[in-house]
Amino acid sequence: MWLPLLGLIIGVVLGLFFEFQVPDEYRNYLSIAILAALDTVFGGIRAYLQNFFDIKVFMSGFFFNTLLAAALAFLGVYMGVDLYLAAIFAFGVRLFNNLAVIRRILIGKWFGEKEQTDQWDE
Amino acid sequence: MGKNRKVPLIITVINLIMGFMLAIQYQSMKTTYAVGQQDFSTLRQNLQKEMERRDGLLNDINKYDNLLNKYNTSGGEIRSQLVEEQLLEAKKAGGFTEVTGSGIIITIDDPNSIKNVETPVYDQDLLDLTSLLFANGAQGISINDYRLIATSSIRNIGESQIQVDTRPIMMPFVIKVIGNPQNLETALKIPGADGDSMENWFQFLNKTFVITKKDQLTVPAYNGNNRIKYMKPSVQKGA
Repeated sequence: MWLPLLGLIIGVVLGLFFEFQVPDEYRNYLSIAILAALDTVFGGIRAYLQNFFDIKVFMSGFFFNTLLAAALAFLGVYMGVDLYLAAIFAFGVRLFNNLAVIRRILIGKWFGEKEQTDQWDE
Repeated sequence: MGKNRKVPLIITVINLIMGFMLAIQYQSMKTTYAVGQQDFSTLRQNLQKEMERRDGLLNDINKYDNLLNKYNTSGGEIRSQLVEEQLLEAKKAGGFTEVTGSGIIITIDDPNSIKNVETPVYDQDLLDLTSLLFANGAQGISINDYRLIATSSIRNIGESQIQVDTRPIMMPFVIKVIGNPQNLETALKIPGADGDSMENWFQFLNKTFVITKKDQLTVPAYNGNNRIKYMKPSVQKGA
């Protein structure tokens, strides 16, 4: 379980090491993409804990969500609607949902091994 | 369950990518924090305000255009009067009107009975004289009542005959000059580049050179053919 955290740290260090800067106008897209990625990662963790993790779903979810979120933001700019807010909202809700499920699963594992995790399935 | 062993590895890889993105985003945001964070909606509001202002300004331009148009169409008399004034001014400057004012009259004559044969006055002498006068503020010059304009010529035809704009002039030469009389007289009397004054030069040629200062003097208009035939104003971009 510590390996993903290690991966995150390595990624951050690598990113800082590269000193690459995104132009102002593309910063929105990156932030949305990060949110989408975060959502996918937590979704993956949750699925893993719930034992229905599928690599194909996870990997496609990661890239598809990331790109879709950026595309949505891009479309929003051209439509004059803050469409990226929709992405933030959707991903934010899902993020908290996933976190809540993960939290319950972990609590259940910690305190009562006998409790079934399946009851929090959505 | 064999599948699940790979899962932490995959999540690790994804986390690596995400960490990379996060770090880049962090670095990109760091610079803007220094500049001063401005809310997106605030910017949008400002833009809206500016656009409204621009619309207002465009309306103003429209309004004043209309006003100008109205002036142009209704105030015809005033406009034509202005144009006439400008035309008159141009004519005056160009030498196409009779002008009066203070100035001097120079009379150059030959005391001999046969005029301008011995030590004659050449075209160059008169050109030097008129150039000197123009250089010293002469507004209008006529030689024997032939007004000099921008394209005027003074040249010798044959031995001792001088033409001003293809019209022959005879002794005595009466040169009327409008300008500051004092300045003009001084210009004729002070020594030039060759050490002689203009007055001295004509006296050297055995001519009488009489300068008469006048408070009121009339120089006639140019009366030759001045049709502009071959030249057109060149149109310049942005002019």
